Amino acid sequence: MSDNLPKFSKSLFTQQQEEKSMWDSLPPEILLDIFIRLPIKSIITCTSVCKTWKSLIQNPSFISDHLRHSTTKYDHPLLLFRLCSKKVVLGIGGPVWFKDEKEFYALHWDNQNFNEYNRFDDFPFHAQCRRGIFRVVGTCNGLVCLVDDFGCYSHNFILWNPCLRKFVQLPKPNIKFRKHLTYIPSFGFGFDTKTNDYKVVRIMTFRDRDNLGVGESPLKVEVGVEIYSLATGEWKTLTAVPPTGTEFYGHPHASINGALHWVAFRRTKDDKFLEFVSVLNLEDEVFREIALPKLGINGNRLPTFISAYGNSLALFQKVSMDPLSIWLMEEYGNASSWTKIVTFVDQGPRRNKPQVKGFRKSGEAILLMTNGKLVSRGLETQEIKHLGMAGSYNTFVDSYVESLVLLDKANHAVTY
Amino acid sequence: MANGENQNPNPNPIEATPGAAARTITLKTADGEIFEVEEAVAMEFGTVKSFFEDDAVSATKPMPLPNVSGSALSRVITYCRRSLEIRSMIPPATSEDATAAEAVQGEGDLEAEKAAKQERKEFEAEFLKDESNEDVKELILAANYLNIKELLDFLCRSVALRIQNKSVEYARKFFGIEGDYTPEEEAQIRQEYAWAFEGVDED
Repeated sequence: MSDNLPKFSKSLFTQQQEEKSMWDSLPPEILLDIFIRLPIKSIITCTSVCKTWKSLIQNPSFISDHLRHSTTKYDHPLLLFRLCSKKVVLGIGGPVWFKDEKEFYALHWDNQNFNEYNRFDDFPFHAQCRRGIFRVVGTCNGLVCLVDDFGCYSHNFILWNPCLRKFVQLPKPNIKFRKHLTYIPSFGFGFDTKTNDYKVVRIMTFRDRDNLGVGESPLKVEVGVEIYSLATGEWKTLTAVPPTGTEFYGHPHASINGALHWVAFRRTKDDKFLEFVSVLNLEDEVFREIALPKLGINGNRLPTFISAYGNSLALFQKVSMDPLSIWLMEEYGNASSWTKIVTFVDQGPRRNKPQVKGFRKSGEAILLMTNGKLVSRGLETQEIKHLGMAGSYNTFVDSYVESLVLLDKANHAVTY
Repeated sequence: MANGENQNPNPNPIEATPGAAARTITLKTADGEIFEVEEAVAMEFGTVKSFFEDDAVSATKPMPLPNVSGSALSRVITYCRRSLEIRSMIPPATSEDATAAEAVQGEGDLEAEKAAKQERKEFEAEFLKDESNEDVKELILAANYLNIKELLDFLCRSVALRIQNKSVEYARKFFGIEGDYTPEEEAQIRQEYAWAFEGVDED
């Protein structure tokens, strides 16, 4: 457009008015298309540009669009690590307990270089009780679920979005420590796609304290289950619990396909121990079971561990004299598809076994070696790659995606 | 930039390929400029495409574009023309019937894709280099009205790059928006997410 005189003589005010009306006619889809490409920091500052922008951004549909965009935004996926900055010392018999462990969280690119992308070490929640440590229950859609219900019964749960520096402290659960019963807690965290709700699950395996004989199973075992919903902000006690006699180990769960999975066991009629995978579907909140493969001698109870592996489950044991093996359920839900896919060789002294902490997107196992170093190891190649990080007993690793989850949450949410 | 007085103001008129009839479509902008555009390029505009698909309208009749100025359309045409050229650098995907042939299609195509990606990156970096914020806004509105997804994607990406990590005032000025918060309301947001408002770039 040429700058001819008549146009130039129009007042600046009118031109501004024209521009303003030009942007008023800009459909919200275009604004959202711009916002979704911004870094989270800028998305937040955009909420203070004007009220329209705030309502566009702090909207559940934009938050879920942003989440979807986040999963495809980068060339490589991210891995979230919970690490400890204190120098780790491993005792002869097992992990050493730290009273004042200084944990931090690091996001790494899950690629060849494994460089650090971001780090979170400045957050205001640390365990309150004498020996309590916040452990990670799990991550989902950018949220991290923490609990310090380990080592002390303090019942503190947190749902945290480190990218927003925002968290929700859950109310105290209903089922607490009882005078005559001790319990082992198991936890799970996941997303219910039907109701678009985040849920935290707490399973307590109660044992009658008075009947704990040496080498004998306690006579009374009952399981209590509670589910917290972010949408309601409340814990709900589940009445449909796993059958009597079912016990949970208190080991990490696997969250896949909208369901939470734990290894559980019960005594059979002929006094053997039967292990299986207990599955809680988050939509209908019903427990189901998946059988485990025959893993050899199981006269002594040698716990089996599971982990998410893509859309299915991986399984490994910590049998002390045998090298570490990993099984995969090739077809999720089909118990006959459990296949042993690797036995790691060259692991050094037999008594020291590496711990499986998780898996990379490309399928390598992330292992915590007995010298405290974290490595990834190919399941087919058995090739070891040092990740340049030190881990500890409480090291956690899971795939992670940046999100705005909790941005639209006002009640009971705290920023720092 | 296009000169409003010519009948054919296209900056880079395409040379007619031997044997192929270069069919053109005539477009008329809001400020009365006439553009004759190659059919392939004009069909990149969703609005133009539906116009000629819905109506049995003769391609020689100028299609009116009341919401687009001549300068904007000229830039849009340049973009779409170049974009088509870059896309033609990648060989078309083999048909669904090909099986063994698909295995052959491997490295050669990957190389071509990489080259095309690089071309596009350089072209896009150049394309908006000297455009003011106002020009970019005008292009967005044009791309939106003409329904050109690829251009709109690129423009939104570019605007995001321009405003990211800038101050709230910068964003307001860019979009011509007046803040409608009370000072107390605005202070509350800034306090709640204080960390996000720190360390922004100079305007």
